[in-house]
Amino acid sequence: MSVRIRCRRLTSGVALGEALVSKQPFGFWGELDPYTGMVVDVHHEWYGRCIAGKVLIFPYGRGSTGSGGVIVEAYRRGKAPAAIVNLKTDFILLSGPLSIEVFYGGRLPVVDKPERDIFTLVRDGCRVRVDGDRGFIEIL
Amino acid sequence: MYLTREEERILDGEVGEAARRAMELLVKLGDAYGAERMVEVSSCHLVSCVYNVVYDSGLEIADMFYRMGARFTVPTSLCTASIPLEDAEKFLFPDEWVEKQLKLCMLYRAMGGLDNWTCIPYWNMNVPRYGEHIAWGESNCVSYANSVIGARTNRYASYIELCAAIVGRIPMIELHIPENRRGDILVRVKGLDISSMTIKDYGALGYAIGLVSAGGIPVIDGIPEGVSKRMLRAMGAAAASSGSVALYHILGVTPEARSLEEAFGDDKPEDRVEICVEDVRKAYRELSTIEDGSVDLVFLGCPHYSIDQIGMAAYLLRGRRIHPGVEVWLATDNLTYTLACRMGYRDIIEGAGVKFMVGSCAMNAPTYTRGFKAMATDSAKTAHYAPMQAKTDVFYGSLEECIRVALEGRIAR
Repeated sequence: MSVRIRCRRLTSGVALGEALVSKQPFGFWGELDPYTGMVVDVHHEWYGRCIAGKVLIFPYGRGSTGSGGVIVEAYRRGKAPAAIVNLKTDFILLSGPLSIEVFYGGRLPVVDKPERDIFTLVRDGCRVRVDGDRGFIEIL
Repeated sequence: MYLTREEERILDGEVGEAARRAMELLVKLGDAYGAERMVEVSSCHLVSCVYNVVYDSGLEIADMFYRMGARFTVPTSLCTASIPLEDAEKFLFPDEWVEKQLKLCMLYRAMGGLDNWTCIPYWNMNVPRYGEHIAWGESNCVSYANSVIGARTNRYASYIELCAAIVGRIPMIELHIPENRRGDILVRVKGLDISSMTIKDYGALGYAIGLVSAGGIPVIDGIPEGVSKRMLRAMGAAAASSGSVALYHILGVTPEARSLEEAFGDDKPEDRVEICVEDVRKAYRELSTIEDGSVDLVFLGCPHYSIDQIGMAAYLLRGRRIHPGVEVWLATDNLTYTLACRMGYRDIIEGAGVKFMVGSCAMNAPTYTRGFKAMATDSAKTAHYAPMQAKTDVFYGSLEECIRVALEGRIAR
């Protein structure tokens, strides 16, 4: 039985991947190496993990202006996450997936404001489908 | 979202492919956040032109717009570049970085960007008026324009500000809407000897304010009416680094906070906090990773030095010579550098062994490739980012303290 959670849709596309879940905010710039997809911020619990192809679940972005640019560069090198799910997504972060759509013709679905508590429902390694066209995530 | 006929024409590609792409991104952004309409902007400030935040994809996107014949339709300044634009070879940065940033410089110049490369465009070259809508990037620029001037912008980056510069519009979201600009946390500054506070103290105070504001809009009470622009610049840059503060108000000082009622609107503050001497001391402790020992890099000019600060540095360095084990970089923009040359400051400062870092800074340049061990800086913002970006230890001191470090090669106790 899969569980479906309604969310706000921010960018279009549908993606399926393994969940990587953290309650810590994640800022990408200075925290992710876009050349390898590895998290390089020693203060983050994802330190040393590879985010390429994962469904990233974290509360919100943080810090720098550069988040979107890092996501675009990671995408260009095949190291981007498959999808992003937040409690609230700021547009510094969203500018990355939006640019992937407009400038590279790709898709990196982002949804936020889930109607149920994703941190209790989704664990690391769960298979999750993110539907940015219709605005929900599905835990498989 | 509602689009005017002109905006629909742009989206349909009737004024060219560059404008169509730019409008497409802005409409998607507006739709995602439920914007009702677009608003015209009077200026832009770009960070998407800085190599260390956009990487190779940033070059591809700039090149794509250039080939499509994109031209900025509003005055657009360019943020601090990833390499110095004068005497770059003196800094020994990797050739590849230099080439890539120079390519970005060429592309953005061709689109009509103001070729000054600075993080203080608001000082003399791209100065918005109160209440104007603008689309700016870079946290200290956004903080100053929003808070001190009362112009309206969110923190834009990663091609949003670039697209706005091409079509002269931005979706009407968040801080563009007056109701969203009201304060949500009251910060009372207590027990500090405000009248004797230096720029360094304002940097530490800003850092502490950022920590308690956590992304909200602080309304600060207790800063005197006569506070200078350069104090506010240091404070805002620090608050933006520690707490992503894009807008703050100071009661009786900034234009949207003449009274408590105006600052909070009809809402009561959601939260009240006090900042006292201990909080500022704590900020000082967090900003320095070392308190003594030798230093091999001194960095001045974050945000970029204005001419008064360069004059101060010249006064302190006249007839002296920096320690041979230290490099000293002083960052400013092209216009201010020209003025410093005309006023004789450059000769004094360079005569002491200091390198002018024109149009760049230690955090945007690949300083980490130089393998420095310990940096001294008079910027709370640089002190915050240095361990991660430059991979050095850091000492946060005043200009005077930093010059002493430069002369002695170590932190004086």
